[in-house]
Amino acid sequence: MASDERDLVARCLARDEHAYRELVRRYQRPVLNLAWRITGDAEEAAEVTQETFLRVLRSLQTYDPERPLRSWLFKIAANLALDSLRRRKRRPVSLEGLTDEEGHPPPEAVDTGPAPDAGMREKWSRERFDAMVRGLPEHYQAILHLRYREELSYDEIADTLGIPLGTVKVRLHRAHEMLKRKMSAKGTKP
Amino acid sequence: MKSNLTCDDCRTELVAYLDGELTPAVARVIEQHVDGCPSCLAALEEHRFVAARLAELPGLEVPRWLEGRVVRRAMGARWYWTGWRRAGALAASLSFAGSVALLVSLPRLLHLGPVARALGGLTPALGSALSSLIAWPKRFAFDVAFYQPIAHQIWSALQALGAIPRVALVLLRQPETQTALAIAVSLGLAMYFVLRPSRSHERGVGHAFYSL
Repeated sequence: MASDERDLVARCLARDEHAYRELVRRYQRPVLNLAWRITGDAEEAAEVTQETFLRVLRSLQTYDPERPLRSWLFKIAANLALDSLRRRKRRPVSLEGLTDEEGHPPPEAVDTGPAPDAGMREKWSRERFDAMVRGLPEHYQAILHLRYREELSYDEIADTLGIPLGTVKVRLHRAHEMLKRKMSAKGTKP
Repeated sequence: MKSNLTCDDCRTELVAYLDGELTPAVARVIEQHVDGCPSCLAALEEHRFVAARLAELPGLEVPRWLEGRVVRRAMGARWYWTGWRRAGALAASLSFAGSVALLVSLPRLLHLGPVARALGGLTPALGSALSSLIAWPKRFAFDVAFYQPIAHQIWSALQALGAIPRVALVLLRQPETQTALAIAVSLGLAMYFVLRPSRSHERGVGHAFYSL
C-alpha cells in the first residue's frame, strides 16, 4: 500500500472527518461505476456505493494494509451490488457466474467472422457500444470495467472478485467475443 | 507454448496478449503466429478495437449528496455512542420514567392524608378522572406489547421473500410516501424505544404500564 494511502487509513482510524471525506472523494467514482455496471441502475448503484463506504469506514480495523485499499473497496462493492441485484431479480447471481467455464461457451459467445472494415468502425458511437456492454451478463460487465476502466491486472481482478486467475482470462476472452458478435449482428463489422 | 500454434489456440490467447498478461515466451509465440496468419492478425485488430472502446466507456456522474451523506452517517454512528449523547439519552429516559411514575402514582397520592384534607370532597372525583386517564396509556402499552413481536415477525418474513425492497424502492420515490414514512418511522421509533416491554428489560416502562 502506498504511504499516502497508509496515512489516509491511519487518519480514518483516528476518526478524522477530513480523512473520511478524502477517502470517499478519491474512490467514489470507480466504486459507483463498478456498482452501476453490475446493477444497471444509477440509484441502486449510489445506494450500494454509500453502503460500501460505510462498511469500509466501520471495519477499517480489520483491514489488511498489505492489500491495496482499492481492491478491498471493489470487493465489498461488487458483493453488495450482486446482493442488491439478487434481491431485485429474485434469481441467483454469483461472482462465479456461469458454470460452463470448462469448454462450454454461452450460445452468443463465439464469433470468428470476417475481417473488420476499418472505414465502418468509426460508425460505432460510444453510446451504441455502451448499450452493447450493458447487454452483457453482470459478471462480464464487472470484469470488463475492472480491466479496462480501472486498469486492474488479472491478478488484482481475481483477488477482487474472488475467482481463479484462469476464470478471469476466460471471461475476458468471452466478453470480447460476445461484443464482437453483437457488433456483427448489427450489420456492421467492428 | 508450442511453436506450431493452431489458429484456435492463438485466438484464445489474443486478449491476454493485448492486456500484457502473457509471459514473454508465450507472447513471442503469439507474435510469430500472427505475423504469418492474416486471419489471426485481423482477429487481433478486432480485439484491439474492442479494448480501445471499452477503455472509453462513459461513466456515471457521482451524485452531489453522496460524500456528505456517507460522512454524516459514518460520523453520526460514532457520535451516537459517545459520552454526551449517551448521557443525554440516559437523562431523557430517567426524566420520562420519573414523569410516568408520578402520573401513575397520582391517584394514590390523592388519598394521602394532607392532600385528601386539602381537596375535601373533590378527592373521589379527581381519583376517578385520573384513573380513567391512566387507563388509556395502559391499554396502549398492552397493545404495543402484544402486536410488536407479531409485526416484527411479519416484517422478517416479507424481507425473506424479497418483496419489501422492490416495493419500497418504487414507493419511496414519491414525496408523499417519504413524508408519511418519516412521520410513521418517528412515531414508531418513539413507541418502540419508550414503551417496549421485553424479557431483558423487566423494569422497562412498557412493563410498568402493563403491570399496573
